[in-house]
Amino acid sequence: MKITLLFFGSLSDILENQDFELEENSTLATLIDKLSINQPLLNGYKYKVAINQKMIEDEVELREGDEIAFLPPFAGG
Amino acid sequence: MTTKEEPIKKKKHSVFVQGPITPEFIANSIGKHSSKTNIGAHAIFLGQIRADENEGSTVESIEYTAHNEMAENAFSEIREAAFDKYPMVCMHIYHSLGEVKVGEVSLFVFVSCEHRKKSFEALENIVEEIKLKVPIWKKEKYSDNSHAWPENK
Repeated sequence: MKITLLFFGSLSDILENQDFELEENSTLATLIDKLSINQPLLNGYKYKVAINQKMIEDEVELREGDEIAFLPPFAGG
Repeated sequence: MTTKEEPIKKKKHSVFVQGPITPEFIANSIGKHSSKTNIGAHAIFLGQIRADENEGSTVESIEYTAHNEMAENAFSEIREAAFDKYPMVCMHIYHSLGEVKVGEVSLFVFVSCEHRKKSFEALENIVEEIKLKVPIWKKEKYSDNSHAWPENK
């Protein structure tokens, strides 16, 4: 299945927004593991994750077409 | 998002302004309220880009980015919560996206009430909520071409 990854703030320095292929029934944890292998720096960053524009705290299963946004601490104003 | 200085005037306008929020824009916003004669107090917060120093290099500008849809939703929620909590006649928030130079304004919060006390309270609350809840990021650009991503404290 294909999902979309968006990286904001400091994370946009190390990872580009992209469409990403993932096996069916993958979870967010699977995705983060895969990204961390490609980009070990991800481990050192503080961020929250929003799926389809909703902040999520728990482990969730991803679905075709999901938009996964990686959000470092906010800095508006 | 609009690139014009004045966003299209609708009941629910977009919060984001491309580039700095100009003194003319702020003055015009104030002027538009002269017909609302139940207002007795305007409270205004302006966030200005500060020339911070970091390891001997000075900030020259900030480039703002946001998750636009999530940010507009967060602004709407802040707005609704503020109207529930404070007796405001009207309230406007404008925030820059893109490049804003040192000395220019990037945040304009405009609270109008019948009386002053509630306007101060509402203004402070809204500014703090924006800092806390809206997915916006600032890339500080320095004189030596380096950059940093500060977090809100």
